[in-house]
Amino acid sequence: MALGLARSGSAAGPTLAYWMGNPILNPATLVFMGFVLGWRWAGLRLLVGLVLVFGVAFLADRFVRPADVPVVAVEAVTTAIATDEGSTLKRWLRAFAQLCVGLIPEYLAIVLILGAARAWLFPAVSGEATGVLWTVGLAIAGTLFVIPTAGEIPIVQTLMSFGLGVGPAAALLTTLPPVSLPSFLMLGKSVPYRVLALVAVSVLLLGLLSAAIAVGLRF
Amino acid sequence: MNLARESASLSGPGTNPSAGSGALDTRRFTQIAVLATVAVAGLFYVKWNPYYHRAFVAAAQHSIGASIVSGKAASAPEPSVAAALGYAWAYGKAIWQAMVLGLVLGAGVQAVIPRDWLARLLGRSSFSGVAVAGLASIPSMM
Repeated sequence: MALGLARSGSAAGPTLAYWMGNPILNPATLVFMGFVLGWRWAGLRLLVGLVLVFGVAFLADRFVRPADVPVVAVEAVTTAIATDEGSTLKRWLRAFAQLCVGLIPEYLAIVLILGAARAWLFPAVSGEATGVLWTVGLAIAGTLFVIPTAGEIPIVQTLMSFGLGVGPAAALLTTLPPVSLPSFLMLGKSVPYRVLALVAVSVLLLGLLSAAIAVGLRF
Repeated sequence: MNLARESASLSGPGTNPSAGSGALDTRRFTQIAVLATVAVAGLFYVKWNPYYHRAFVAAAQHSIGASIVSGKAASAPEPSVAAALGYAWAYGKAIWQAMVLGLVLGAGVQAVIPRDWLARLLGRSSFSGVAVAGLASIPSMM
C-alpha cells in the first residue's frame, strides 16, 4: 500500500507516516497488548507510536533535500504517463503485476534469511537478561526483524516469562512493529536511503527511550 | 466479496481515454466507489472482524498465541534451513491475506485515484500530509 502511495506521487513524510502508523498505531494491537501485558504497556506504546508516526515522519520529510524531490516527482510523472494508457482494468493489472514481481521474491528471500538468523538476533533469555546490553541488542534486533501484525505481543510475553527485563521488553515492543529490513528495502525503491537511515536510527533511539521509561516507572 | 466481478466492472465498455484529468465524471466516481467497497469489505474480512473476536480471547486468556520467534521456549532454533523455512511458512500463513489485500488496494490506488488528488493531499512536505497519512493508517491495521 505504502509503495502504491509513493508511486502515485505521495511525498516521503506522508508515505512514512502511513507505513509506520499501520503496525504501531494499530488499535487492535493496543487492545490485545492491554489485555495480555497490561494497560501501562499499551499506553507507552501509544505515546511512542504517536511520536514516531507524526514526529519522525515530519522530520524525515524535512530531511528530503530539494535535490531529492525531482527524483520522486519525475518518477511519479513517468508512472502517471505510463499508467494513463489503456482501460482502468489494464492499469490495475499492470500496477498489480508490478507490485507482485517487485515485492514478493525479494521479501521472501529476506524473510528466509531473518528466519534462519532468529537465534542470533534473539539469544536465549534468562533471569539476567535485564541490562543495557540486552536493551541495545534487542532494540537493534527489533529494528531489523520482520513480524506479522501484533506478533510482538506473544514474543515479548514469552521472553518475559523466561526472565526478560522490562527495559529490553519495552525496546522490543517499540522497535519490532514499525520497521524491518525487508520493509526498508521495499521503500528504498521510492524513498531516499538517507531518509530511511534517519528513520532506522529514530526507531532505535525511541526503543531505548521507551526502555528508560519502562524502567523509570517500574513497569 | 466477489473480486472478479468487481474488477470486471472497473473496465466498462465506455472507456474514455481522456479521463486522466481528474475531473469527477460518473465513470471515475463508480471506480472510486468500487475501490472503497473492496477496501472496506476486505479490511472487514481480513482485519476488523477477526481482530474483534481476538480481543475477547486476549481478555479471557491473557494471551493471543505462541511466539512466532521461539514458540513456547526461551530461545529460537539454531540457524538452519529448517529454521528459515519454518519462519517463512509461519510468517506467510499469518500475513498472506493482508498481503493480497494490500497489493490489490495498492494497485487500485495507482489505477483509480486521480494523481492530482493524491498530490494535493499527500504530495506536500507539510504536517497536514503527514497527519492525513498517519490517521489513514489507523483503520487499515496492516
